[in-house]
Amino acid sequence: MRRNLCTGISLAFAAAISVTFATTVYAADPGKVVVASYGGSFQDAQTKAFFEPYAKATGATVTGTTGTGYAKVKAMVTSGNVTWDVISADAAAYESEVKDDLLQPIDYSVVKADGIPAELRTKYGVGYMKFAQNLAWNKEKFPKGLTPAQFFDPSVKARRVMLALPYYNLEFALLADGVKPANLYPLDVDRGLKVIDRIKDQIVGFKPPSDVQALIQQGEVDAAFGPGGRLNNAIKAGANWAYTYDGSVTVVEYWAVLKGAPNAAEAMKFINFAVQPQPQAELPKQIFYGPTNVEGLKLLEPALAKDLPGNPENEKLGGVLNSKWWNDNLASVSTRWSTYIMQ
Amino acid sequence: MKQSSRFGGWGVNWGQLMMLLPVTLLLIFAFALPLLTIVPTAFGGDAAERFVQIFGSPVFRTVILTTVRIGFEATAITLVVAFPLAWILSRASGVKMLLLGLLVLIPFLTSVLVRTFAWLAILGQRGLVNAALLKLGLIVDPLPLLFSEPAVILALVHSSIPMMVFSLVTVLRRIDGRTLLAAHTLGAPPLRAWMGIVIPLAIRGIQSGVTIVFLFTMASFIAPALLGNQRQQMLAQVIQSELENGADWPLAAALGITLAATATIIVFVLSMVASLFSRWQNPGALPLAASQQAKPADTAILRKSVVMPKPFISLPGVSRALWLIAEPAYLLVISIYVLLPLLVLFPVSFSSADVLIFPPPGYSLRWFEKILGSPEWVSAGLTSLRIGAATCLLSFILATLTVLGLGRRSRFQGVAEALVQSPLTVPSVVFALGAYLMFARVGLVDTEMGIVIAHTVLIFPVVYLIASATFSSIDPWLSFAAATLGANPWRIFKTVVFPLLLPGLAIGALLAMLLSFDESVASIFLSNLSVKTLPRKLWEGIRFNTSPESAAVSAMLLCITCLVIAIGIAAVFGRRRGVRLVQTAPSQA
Repeated sequence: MRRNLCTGISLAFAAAISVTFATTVYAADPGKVVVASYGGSFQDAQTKAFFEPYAKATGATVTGTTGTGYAKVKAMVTSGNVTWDVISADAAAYESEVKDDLLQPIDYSVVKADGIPAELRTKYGVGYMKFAQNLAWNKEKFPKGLTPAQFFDPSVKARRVMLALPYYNLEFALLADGVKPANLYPLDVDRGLKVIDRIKDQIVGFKPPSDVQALIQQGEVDAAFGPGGRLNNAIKAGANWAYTYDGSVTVVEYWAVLKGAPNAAEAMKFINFAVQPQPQAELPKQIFYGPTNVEGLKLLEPALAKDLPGNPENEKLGGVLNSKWWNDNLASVSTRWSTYIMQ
Repeated sequence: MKQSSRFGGWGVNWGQLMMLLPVTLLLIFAFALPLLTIVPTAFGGDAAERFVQIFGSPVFRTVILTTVRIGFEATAITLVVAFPLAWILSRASGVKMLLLGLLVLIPFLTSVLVRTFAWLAILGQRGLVNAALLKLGLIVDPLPLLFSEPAVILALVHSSIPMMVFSLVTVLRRIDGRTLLAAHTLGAPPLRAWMGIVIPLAIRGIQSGVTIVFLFTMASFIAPALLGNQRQQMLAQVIQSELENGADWPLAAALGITLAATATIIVFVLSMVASLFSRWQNPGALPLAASQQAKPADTAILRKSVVMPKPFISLPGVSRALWLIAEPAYLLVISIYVLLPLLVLFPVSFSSADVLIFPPPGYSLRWFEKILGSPEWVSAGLTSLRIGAATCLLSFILATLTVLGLGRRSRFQGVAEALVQSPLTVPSVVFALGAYLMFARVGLVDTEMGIVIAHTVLIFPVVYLIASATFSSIDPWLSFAAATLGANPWRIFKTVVFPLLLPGLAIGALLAMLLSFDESVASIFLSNLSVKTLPRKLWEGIRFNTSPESAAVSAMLLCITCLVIAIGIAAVFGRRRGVRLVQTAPSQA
């Protein structure tokens, strides 16, 4: 045992010595851009739809990395050690990053995309993808489907799951209660909570997205309100489920450029490329998310386009997340939400 | 008191202080300074109102109470469940020792992602437990086992067993089994013998195990999120989500301070309780002086005839039989508990599906092919291995110096230990954020060195706690004896203290390696373009999909470890008696 230990220790020592303490200096380099996304299947899709075609078309090096998110972006910009150029940011993170002055304005002399609706071409970011939170149900339990109103009807017995955070849930509850999508904001939080309260005892949990998918797949719930991509994954994996865009909440994903980005000029060119119709139409072929460029949507096969989030036909059945409103109200609504769900 | 700090015969005070220098530097530069970049935000603006908000709001009060309650429950249950295992392991040798050691390591070798998922697949409506009960006709409707506090505790205890067993085993090994035999001949019933001898002798091991497990469970956030319900949210969950949503950083920092302060106070109280149980370990004066003043022992008792005690239970046959099956039965039950998640893990790692689903719709080798065939995965694995090895080595050296530097008992022991343990009390996401901001200034972000330093800060307290428990079980008179025989301090250290300390250090260092290998929060923050660790690869896809990759990685880790253990077993058979670390006494009770 002693001898084994000694060998172990000396091996560990040898391994420790072999640690290479790599430090790389990132110099501004034309024809080079670093894009930070989320990793996993979504980043694989982005690589095929945006990174590789852009590199091929321009000869630039696109380095895809992972870890985008408000906390890390804020830490990076605050520390002055900015190594990312472009980030992918969901509406909520994007608004927080704008509020904290972590982004630089988009150069609209470079980024040209008339097919992107004007409200998605904002000062600090371009909305390039849409995803939605949908109502879904087990087809065996509900062969005739389920409406948002039924989801909140206590007489419809079902094990339900909703999302952990206040946003999306409150919009869904209000839409189910008959609020018109155009009149959603400012959110009537009291009314939303009252609607959820009707079926609170039938909710098994308020869970993060990955758990919603796992619970559907493992047969733990009969009805769920969660991210469409996750619902789609579960159905592809064999869950006998269906979903609807009734009462759905659509969310925009943005491209943005960090303040102090080492390759800002190339970053603008990359964003311009990634919002053009052709690459926009490529993404949904890889993964179940919708393009924002209406010209891109037209390039898709109708059968695929029909079901995508962000398709105007689908979007009008539900609401669109107003991240600006949430950014202003998150702190207070969060507290009420936590108090409510913990009671 | 002053004399007793030099009791170990190890150097003079300034020598001890020199040995504390590295750990002091580490704590200041790699722990305190990073926290200083983030902690003041908690006090910026209207700090008083923030803390009033935390302690005044029923929500946060509930969260804090739940966190402490779950921490206590999980720790107490872990102690009770793991103690017999540690005892049996400490009495085992050869193949039995290696197999039990492997059993204890298993929860550690499976990624927390898969482990938590496995509990879902075991406890769910269509899970293994309900399926078995339904099939046996014991129940009509599936039991609601999930989304409850017991489910969370079951998972937390499962992952805490290794830390508890390893903290206990190094101390238990030192207990001479013959003391129990002696107590038995003197008529002590088993319970009294255990409470009177084993528990007090093991108290330092219990203390370090309880401290480590309590701090780890208090800071857990993955298992409570999936397996619990919203009524038992834990503080670390709230901090994690507050930081990532960016709703209110000052509030998140203030919550982090609350968690750290609560944990520190509780651990401090626990250590006071532990010292009450082990007063014999820090006698007020040198025993030599004490014995001179002591009255001569009453030897009359030796001349009295001993009345043999009545048998403990009047049916000796039955109780004997019970004792005979107690150990195998216990081992069977604990093995099932520890190994249960593997029933999910192995099938899932061979899944043909794109997602983590149990039972898998089909089987294939695609995830193993993907991982072994991709240079990115392989290099991430090697990076994690390098970081793990370096963290292990650094923690080993630091823990050795700190244990010796703090000595046996000094006046500031309590405070010093609280300082050394402090990295375990701070939520890792708060530390990681601070470390990023501070390391960025000195170019340590996105370097393996940076992650190694962060891991060492986060993990070395575990190694220290285990080594320190081992150290206190070393008989100080051995060093004295060596000194009277003319050995200088270095020689005493080399030939007496270090060899006796080595098992504790080695087990601690092994844990350090495994903890570093699994650490995701700091790794994700501190790595970027050039460094990529395995946990980062495992976690980064989780936002959009949960793939069986994590199961395949865990399965491979398990297989490699089993292979190493198998080689160990072969070596034991090759050498027969060669491996015994201590002479084992027959198990008594």
